[in-house]
Amino acid sequence: MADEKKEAKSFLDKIVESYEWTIKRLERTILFGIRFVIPNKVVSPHGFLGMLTFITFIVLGVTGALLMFYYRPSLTGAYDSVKMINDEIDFGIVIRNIHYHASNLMIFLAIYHLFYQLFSSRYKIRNEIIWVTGVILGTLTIVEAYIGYDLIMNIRAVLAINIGAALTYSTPFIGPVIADIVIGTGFDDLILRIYTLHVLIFPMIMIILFTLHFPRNLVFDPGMVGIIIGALFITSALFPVPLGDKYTPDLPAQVTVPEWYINPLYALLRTELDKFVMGVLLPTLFIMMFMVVPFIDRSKSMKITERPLALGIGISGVLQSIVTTVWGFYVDPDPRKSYVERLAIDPYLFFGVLILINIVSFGGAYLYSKYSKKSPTPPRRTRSEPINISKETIEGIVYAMVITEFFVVGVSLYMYLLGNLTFGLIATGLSLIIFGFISYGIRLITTR
Amino acid sequence: MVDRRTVLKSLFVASGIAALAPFFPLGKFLTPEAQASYPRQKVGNINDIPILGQLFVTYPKTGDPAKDNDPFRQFLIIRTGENEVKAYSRVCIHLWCLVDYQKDKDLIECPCHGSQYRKEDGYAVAGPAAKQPNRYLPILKVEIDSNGDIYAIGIEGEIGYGR
Repeated sequence: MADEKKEAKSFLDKIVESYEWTIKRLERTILFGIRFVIPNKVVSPHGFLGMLTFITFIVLGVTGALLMFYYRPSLTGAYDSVKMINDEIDFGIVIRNIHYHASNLMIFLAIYHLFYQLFSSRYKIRNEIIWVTGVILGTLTIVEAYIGYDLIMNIRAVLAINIGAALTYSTPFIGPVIADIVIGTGFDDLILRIYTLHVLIFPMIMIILFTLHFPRNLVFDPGMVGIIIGALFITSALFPVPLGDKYTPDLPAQVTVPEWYINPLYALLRTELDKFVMGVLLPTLFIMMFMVVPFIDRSKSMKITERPLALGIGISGVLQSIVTTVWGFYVDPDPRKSYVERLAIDPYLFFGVLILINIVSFGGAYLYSKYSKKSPTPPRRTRSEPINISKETIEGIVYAMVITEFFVVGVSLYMYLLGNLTFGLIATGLSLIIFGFISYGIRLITTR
Repeated sequence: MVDRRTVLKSLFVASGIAALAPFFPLGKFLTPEAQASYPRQKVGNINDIPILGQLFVTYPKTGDPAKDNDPFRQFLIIRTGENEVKAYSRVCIHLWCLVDYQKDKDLIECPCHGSQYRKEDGYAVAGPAAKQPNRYLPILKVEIDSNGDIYAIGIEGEIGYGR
């Protein structure tokens, strides 16, 4: 009897059985402490910007690990190894461009995530720890990206390292200790040490912090992931990152502007006021302003318009970030003028503008919240009408998109075969974007 | 009266902290000592530099490019006369970018934040370096022999901080 029963089991049953066996054992692990939620409707990506940031982090991890196969962390070998990745290694330029643009995307998404969470006041629902670790993670992301572009050892990287080192030394008490550890006996030690920080220590700290930042329910939307990574690939293909001039000791001085996320600091330093206050203290205070939001915003309301303090911090944060970033970019191009005339920023004008931004932001937020309280409660947001297209039409579009995706994938492979990496990568990105829309199309059909 | 439980708990914490103390000297692992010696070294010849021209030199030179390319070993020599040179560290005393001499403006300039130094004594005349506590660029001490060979013999001031 027993033998008969065993034979009666089909192959499929055995697969199901072993699947269940595995799941039961996995339930004993930490993995099942996290719940992945795949939304069954088309939802706004604002709700899972954090997840998108994390996906970008994974892209950075994968491309970064690949770059490690060729990169040489030494003062004399670093630039040449990056040049080799760029010019000689198959797909090296693709991996490097994706890594570079993913770093920009991760910082952008992290900042966007921060402001969305601030304006939607999610920190109010027992999310204070998630909020604080998020601000720390955002700061680490920017520092990690800064170290990353230092590793290329072009002239811009060396100047950025020098400024970073000088600012660290200017910090009282803890600064010289940190700087001595990072620099060692000189630049050759330094490059190996910041490399270790970039590829191991910082990512490890970030992964540990993820456990204190991720909520129990993680929204994973394959459609949006496809669209974001596809857009990242297309951007990487269209805007290849330049190598810059190799740093050699006899290179004449040249004006270089840092990466955009360092620009606020660059603008502050160009006011020529005390370097510690401009380069370390004010940026730290700016970050602290965000960190303390959940603890100073005690209003009960979840509506941003009824919380003037948080609204003010949000608006002033956005405006100050934009103004200082753009200001940092602007360098008077006239070569006849001296560097100081081209680079100096008038501190009265600069801080005048920043103070004005704060007055307008906090004052405006206060007045707005006062005014909107008097006004009758706005009508409840009406649910958006479902898209008025028949199921058959959507189905047809999905079929068309699947055929298009297969075609684009074919084009992509053919382009790689021909050695045209730019068009190949654009097609790869396009196929991922189409995949994202297919996922949304299918979701629209199944939720009718 | 402090009860026994509290005393024991405090002893536990105190002994835990005490056990950590021996780990602090291990911090030396992270901060190796740099060997600083400034031998007499030939860095160039004055006849290779035009009047009011500049020469970038490395000092002290070890022969190992990984050490020699260090920004803190970079100096610039400006020929100011027939048999006269001025030599300074290239590291700006503001935020350590690398400065060079701009002949048309007759100034040593920094490309990062625009500090200006005069060539006569390396004194910061404008820009953020002029607001630092020490306003002079460190000097590379040099001797010129009868053949015009320039020998570096030492550094005056602290690189990155001025003198």
